[in-house]
Amino acid sequence: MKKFIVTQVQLNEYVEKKKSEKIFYDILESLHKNVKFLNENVSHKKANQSVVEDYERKNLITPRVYEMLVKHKIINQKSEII
Amino acid sequence: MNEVKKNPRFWSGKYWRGHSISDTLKEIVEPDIVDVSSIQTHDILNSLVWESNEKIKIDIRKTLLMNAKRFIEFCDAENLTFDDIILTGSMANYNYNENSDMDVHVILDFNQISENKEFVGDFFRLKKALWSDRLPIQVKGYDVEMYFQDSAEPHHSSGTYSLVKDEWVRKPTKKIVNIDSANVQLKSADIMNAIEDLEGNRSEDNFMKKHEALKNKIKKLRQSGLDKSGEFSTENLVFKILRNTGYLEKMVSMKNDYLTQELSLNEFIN
Repeated sequence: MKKFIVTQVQLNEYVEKKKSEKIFYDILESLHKNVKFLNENVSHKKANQSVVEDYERKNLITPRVYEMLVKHKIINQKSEII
Repeated sequence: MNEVKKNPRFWSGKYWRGHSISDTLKEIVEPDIVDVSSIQTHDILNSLVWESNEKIKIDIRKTLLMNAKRFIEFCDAENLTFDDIILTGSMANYNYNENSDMDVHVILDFNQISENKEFVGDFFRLKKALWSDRLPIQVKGYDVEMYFQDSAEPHHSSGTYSLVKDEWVRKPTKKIVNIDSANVQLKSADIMNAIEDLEGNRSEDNFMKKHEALKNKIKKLRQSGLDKSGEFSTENLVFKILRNTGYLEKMVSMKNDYLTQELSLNEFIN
């Protein structure tokens, strides 16, 4: 059996990446729910903005999550929904 | 494993060597020491909020309506149709205390937002959390709790005042409420001890399962009390005691601590 040597830095990096991915997909799911369930009476954009702000409030938008959201054109540099 | 070590007596002895019996007994919440003063009722409505003729004070009504208006705008719900804006809960009743909130409910038909009521509930909870976080508003020293209520949702409170119409929807009666304090203390102590036990078992693998089970038990207990005998039911009063004494907050923080620990990595692996 092949042995792998993993350093603490690599492990932390891996855990951080997985956590960020989970948060990112959670946000996507919430945004998807807004599109799926909200009637036209309520602005989808504002509802989506609230989702992002709620994650910010909980300190879950880490630099990596922010990077992913910007990269996928969900928010702009000012954390506003595109 | 050694046969002796499988014996419960061995483990029991091992446990008690490290834990003093008197210390453990001290940690147990006895029913007698549960403070039930916060659930006692008053002879008059809160004089900071109500006039002597039981009409709401003008400045309070104006402030609460302004709060509701801003809250509706904040939630981007100004295009919706509202049935009423009410003040309810203990502040519209005789059972207020220093921990009471000004419970302001904005009543509307949730179908205007979505047919999925569970989604609407989550949607408003999120908005409310953002609102409370940014604007921790107090009126006369009491926190203002804004809440969107579906017009189809049954309402249990016996005191409901319409802030829009400036009149009682349901006036609370000054009836002598028969509170079974001893039973409230007994049931409260029982759950407090369960919460303390849970806190002591935070390192166990099935902690989350136990936490969820206890949370559901408390939730069901309160709901059954409300359904059966309303807001003065023993079960609802137990819930209030748990909230006022910080035990519910303790449950939330121990879950957060557990999750933080689970998601963190401190060990050095080489």
